Amino acid sequence: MSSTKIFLKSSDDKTFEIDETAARASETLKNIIDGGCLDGVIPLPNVSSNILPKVIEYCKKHGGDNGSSKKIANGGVDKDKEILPDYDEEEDKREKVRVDELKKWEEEYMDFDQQVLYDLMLAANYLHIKGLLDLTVEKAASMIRGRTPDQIRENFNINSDFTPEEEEEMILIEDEWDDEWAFD
Amino acid sequence: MKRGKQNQPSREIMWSVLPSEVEENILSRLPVKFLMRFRCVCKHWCNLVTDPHFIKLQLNLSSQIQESYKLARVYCAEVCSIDVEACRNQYIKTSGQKKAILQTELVLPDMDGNIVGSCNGLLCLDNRHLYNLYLLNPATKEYKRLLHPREDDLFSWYMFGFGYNPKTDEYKVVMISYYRSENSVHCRDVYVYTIGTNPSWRSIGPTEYEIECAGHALVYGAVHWIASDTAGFIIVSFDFGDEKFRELSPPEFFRQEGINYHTEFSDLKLVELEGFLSLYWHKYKSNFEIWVMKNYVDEQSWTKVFSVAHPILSQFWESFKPLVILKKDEEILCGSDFEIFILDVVKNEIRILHSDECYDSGTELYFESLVSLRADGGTDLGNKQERRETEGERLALEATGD
Repeated sequence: MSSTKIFLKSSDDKTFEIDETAARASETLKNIIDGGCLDGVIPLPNVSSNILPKVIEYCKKHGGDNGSSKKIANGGVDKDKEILPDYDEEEDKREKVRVDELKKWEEEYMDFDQQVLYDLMLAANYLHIKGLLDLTVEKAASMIRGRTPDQIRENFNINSDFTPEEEEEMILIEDEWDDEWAFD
Repeated sequence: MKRGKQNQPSREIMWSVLPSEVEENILSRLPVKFLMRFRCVCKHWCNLVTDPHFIKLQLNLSSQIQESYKLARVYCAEVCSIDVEACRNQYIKTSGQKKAILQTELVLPDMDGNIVGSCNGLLCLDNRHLYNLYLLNPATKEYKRLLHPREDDLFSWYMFGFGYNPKTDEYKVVMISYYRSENSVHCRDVYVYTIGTNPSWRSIGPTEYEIECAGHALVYGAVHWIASDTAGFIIVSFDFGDEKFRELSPPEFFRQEGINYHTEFSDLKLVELEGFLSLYWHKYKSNFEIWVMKNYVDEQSWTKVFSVAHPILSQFWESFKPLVILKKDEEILCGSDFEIFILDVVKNEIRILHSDECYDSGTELYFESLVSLRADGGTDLGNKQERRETEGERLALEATGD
């Protein structure tokens, strides 16, 4: 495997090294590399030196592939094919072991606070790293699930921008769907 | 993920500065019920649930996630659901028989018939005895009543199909009108209703096929049925794109064995299983098998995927339909007129997850989506006030609503 080094420069002018194969996990970096504009260092004005090593860590782990454990669990082990007779059970078992290992890694990797989550989500979006974006976005979604609208507004700094009339209507909506809530 | 940590308020994420694609990505991962409730968070979130781009985003994601699949059943006028995952889990943790709890999604003004089909989170119900249809989204609780063309005689009946044309982004209902005369069946006409554009039934001319009530399968943009013919039976598809009927051959086996829909002491049904056009055959006290068409439209690719040579549950004569294969060659989640159950063909037993006292409308697999019927020009009944009405008001509505 080629181990050509790529250099990335963070928004605060710090340079980091990454293998080309790992860098290809990012669609944005892949396009720059393939475009042949590899002129020394790639500047990343939207990613700070706090978050870039975390991004690189993810890319290293995911080198060639482009998915998270979630994606592999649903897509890699193709559910549609499972009912067919020529479906390879051994292959399926190997895949499951790989997914379990990856899930464990992801769990450790994702252990950080909201600020890091936020920055990492933006970096993954900017660099088009699909697997990392899925992971971070899924975590952000899990923070919203099961909360009340008030808690969400407070936690994510969202202002309710309804007019007083709309507000009344919204109270009805909240009441109505509150009943639904009781089942969870 | 650690709950304790998440529950502590933090002001670190500024939602307002998230790029909109990231924001929509996050929200599209929430269950529909949450999205409906979170409309009151802010104007943007409120508008998002009716935004066509966001609806598609959520739909794509939801259709790929196993956890979002549910079973729908209708009792009288109550549309109920249960998670497929819950059925699966219940089976794993209990060895005995345990009742699964169905949740009421919404209550219709009336309903006496069966489920026509499900597509992208929408259900179509045939309110047969009142000569109308219901289109509904159980997750958003939106519904509409649709009157259909009818004849005032006792010799007519109607077959329905429900589906989607991705090219034009339109949902359609197809209706075949049959009548019996001199002991033979004739097709009077075929009508198509397109949701949204033009709220009327369009005649497309009669078909020669005699569709049987033997299940349906919506795959590859077409609904499929079993139709009788001189050689036994064939599979007939109706494509929601070009609105044409086509013929497909069943596996050679059926022709060789001379099996047809009318074969005694047996059950033959067309179903969709994991996205495949599937055929299920149960010969009482003998054998049970499921076939799938591996490559759609290639008639050579019919493959037997589930086969039990010994008689399954000789006492079990009820007609049922396989819904989800839980474990290959071992367990299938099934629905019958009275029950939702797991059929374990290895142990040769049935584990009933849910049973009803009265006959219901059949069981249909669906997943939650935000797909809306709003654009449709037909009778709109799906708003909160009407849903909360008392029985008396319900009757009054019926009198004026149609």
